[in-house]
Amino acid sequence: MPGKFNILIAGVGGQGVLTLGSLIAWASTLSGIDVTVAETHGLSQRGGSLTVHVRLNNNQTPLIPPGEADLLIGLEAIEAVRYSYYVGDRGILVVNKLRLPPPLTKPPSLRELEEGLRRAFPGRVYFYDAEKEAKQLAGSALFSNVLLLGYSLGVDGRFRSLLDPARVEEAIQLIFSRKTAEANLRAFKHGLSQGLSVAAGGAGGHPG
Amino acid sequence: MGNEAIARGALEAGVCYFTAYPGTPSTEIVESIGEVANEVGVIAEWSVNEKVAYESAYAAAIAGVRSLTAMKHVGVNVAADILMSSGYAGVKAGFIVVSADDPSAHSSQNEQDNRWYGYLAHIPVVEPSSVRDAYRLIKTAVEVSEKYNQPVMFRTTTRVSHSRQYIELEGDISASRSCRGFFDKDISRWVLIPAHARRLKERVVKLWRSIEEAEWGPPLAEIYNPGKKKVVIAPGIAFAHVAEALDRLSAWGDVTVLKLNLTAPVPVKPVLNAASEASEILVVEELDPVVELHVRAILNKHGVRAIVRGKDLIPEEGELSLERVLPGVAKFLGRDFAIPQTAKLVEEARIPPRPPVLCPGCPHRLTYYILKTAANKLRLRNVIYTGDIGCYTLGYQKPFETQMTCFEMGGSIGVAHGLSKVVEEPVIAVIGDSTFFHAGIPGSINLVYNNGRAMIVVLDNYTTAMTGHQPHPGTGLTATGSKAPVVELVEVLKSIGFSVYVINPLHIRESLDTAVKALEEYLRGGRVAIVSRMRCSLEAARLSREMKVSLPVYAVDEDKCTGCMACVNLTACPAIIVPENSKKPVILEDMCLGCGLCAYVCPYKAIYVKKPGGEGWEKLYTERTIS
Repeated sequence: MPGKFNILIAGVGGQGVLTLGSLIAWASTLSGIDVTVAETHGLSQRGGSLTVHVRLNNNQTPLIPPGEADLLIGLEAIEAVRYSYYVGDRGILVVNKLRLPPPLTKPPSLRELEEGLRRAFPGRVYFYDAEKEAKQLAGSALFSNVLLLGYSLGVDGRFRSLLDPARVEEAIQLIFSRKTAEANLRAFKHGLSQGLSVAAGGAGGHPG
Repeated sequence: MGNEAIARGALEAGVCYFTAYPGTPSTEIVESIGEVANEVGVIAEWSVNEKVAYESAYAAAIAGVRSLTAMKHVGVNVAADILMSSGYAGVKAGFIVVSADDPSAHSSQNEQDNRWYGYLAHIPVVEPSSVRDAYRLIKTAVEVSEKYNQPVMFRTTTRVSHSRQYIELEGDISASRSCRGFFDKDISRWVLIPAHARRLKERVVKLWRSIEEAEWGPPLAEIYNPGKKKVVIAPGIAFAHVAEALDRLSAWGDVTVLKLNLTAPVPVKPVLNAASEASEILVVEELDPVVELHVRAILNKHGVRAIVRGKDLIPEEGELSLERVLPGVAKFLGRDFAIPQTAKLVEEARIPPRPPVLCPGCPHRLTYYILKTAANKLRLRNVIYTGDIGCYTLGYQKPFETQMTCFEMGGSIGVAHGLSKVVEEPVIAVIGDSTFFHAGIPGSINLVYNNGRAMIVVLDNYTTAMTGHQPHPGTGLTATGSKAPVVELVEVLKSIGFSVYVINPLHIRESLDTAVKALEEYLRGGRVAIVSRMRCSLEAARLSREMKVSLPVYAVDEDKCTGCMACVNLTACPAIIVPENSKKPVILEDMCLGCGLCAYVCPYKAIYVKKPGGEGWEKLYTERTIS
């Protein structure tokens, strides 16, 4: 099948991991892509470690095999590292500059996490402060996820060639209520343009 | 989503009556029906438990109305009594029991394989391989049920129930469904006294043979590439993994594949047809070797000599995936295979596990703190807390450890009773509101009747939280969102004979005093129950957004904070973190939901309300009905 592409979304239960998976699924469907999404529900959603597997044009097993993700979207840095073994040879990592330590633990610092990823995946790691951008743009961290999706489409030309950002905009209007849709659209476009400018070599930090 | 596909397919098949008790991964089936039930003219109910859910839907089917009941795998255990009887008596209209199994126990206490129930009860089991399959096969399952006048189990696993795919709809939702039934007073069929049961058993044995021997083809048994020496049999979701494994090995041409979606009974003819030239057969299935054992029996009975492999090559425990199936399939075919190298980071070693935790603002955190502190005040050092199924099970973790057992729904109370008969320590059963209605009431009655020495604590958060906030009999709402009478659990406990103390854990000091009084009465030999009433904080947060009434947000005053970490260590609240290079905690404003426990426990009064809640915010947490 043409244009196979695997996206792993990793985060903490409650961050909107499932919603982001759903958004990509809707956008893919609107683009005529055969998409399969595998979610985890229930207990795992209560602040636990959580992943959603999104497979474009891979219509067999719903789970991405380790080492075969083309894109990892990390909504939180510890979880991005935890699931980084899913990332394939050419895979790209877009990671939120956010570290939420599980209660009563002492995980590595954000810098250590970032350096570890850059060593393991040289030239393919993008750290992005989605929370800061979301707060500046829309006054709430709730919009971080669409920013990260926009940013991912911006930096990842292969992803963008499969999934037209215009379809994501349609999907945002489809799945969010009118009021949040507007803010989400703005956030998405902002993330996209920042991603595009980074990919074009603009300011905002080259991948390490 | 797979569950939505099942709901849609069932509506197209003319199912009129849907019942369930919520349970991951089955919940969205009846939840999504509830959203459209009034519009399409069907009945959707959250039942008090799976037994009642099964009974209600089964009753419709014996009165000639198509029905469906959905439950998680362990829910079928609760319904097992009526399930067995329904296998004897059969049905007069299509009747489906969806069993949503949870291999790897993502959100369950075990990973039992419910296909065995099909064999135990003589109920055919249809098992889809994908979301698309689920949509089509639920309709086939209704047809099978009506053809044989027998209940059919529709068995999914997590990766079917909770995956999403695009589906092209193939049918309309019939507007002309007849949802009125007729109860035929066929006493010899519906009254399972021994004489009737013995005769019905003859019916069911004959029926089972005829299903086994029937001419099954697609969509329930489909043979690809017949006539090869090597045969792979792949039931349910395993077919998806096998298909991808064969893609990768470029091996579709070398094997005959039987995609099997009827797994109880294993149909004889498709197996014999697939095995016509076979020297070696591999059964790839998730969990137990159910199909494997039956394939062996069929081949043996028909004198077919072929080596059958299965659980020697495919893992028996845990969910299957490509990387767990590919090595076994490759070995079976004598092929080399490549699994991609995966990157290993040094940092991974230092990544702490992240088990689920109580959310910020969670009422259970407050209640657990109050219970433990009250026990400490009375110098009770060895309290045994028995536990139950719900978000509050997470209290097994430090710093609470107020869940010391967790076996099954409602078990906290029976286990507390039994322990109270054989140990000296105080025993407290901790159970949620929905779980109390589900299976806690008989245990409570037993405790009083048999003079148990345990205390009960009911955590009433006005919802079935863990499965995504479904209403229950104590909430005043139904599955379709309409109003219902409130079954007041305080009155239930009182009528059983308990002295009931109600606390609002948002008021910590007051609740603590009440809890001490309750414990004192308990220690004097009283029959005591505490009901802790406060809405789930996720629901309070949702209401806060909808009604534009903000919840308070707390902050740490850096000047007063000494870095003693009491707030971190006593609450384990995910909204409190210690930033890198800092010795003092901070509260993440976006996450704080204003419960105030951290401020209460801070010995230096260093935590203060940074943003006060909007007018009447407390009602979002405490009022049962918010309009």
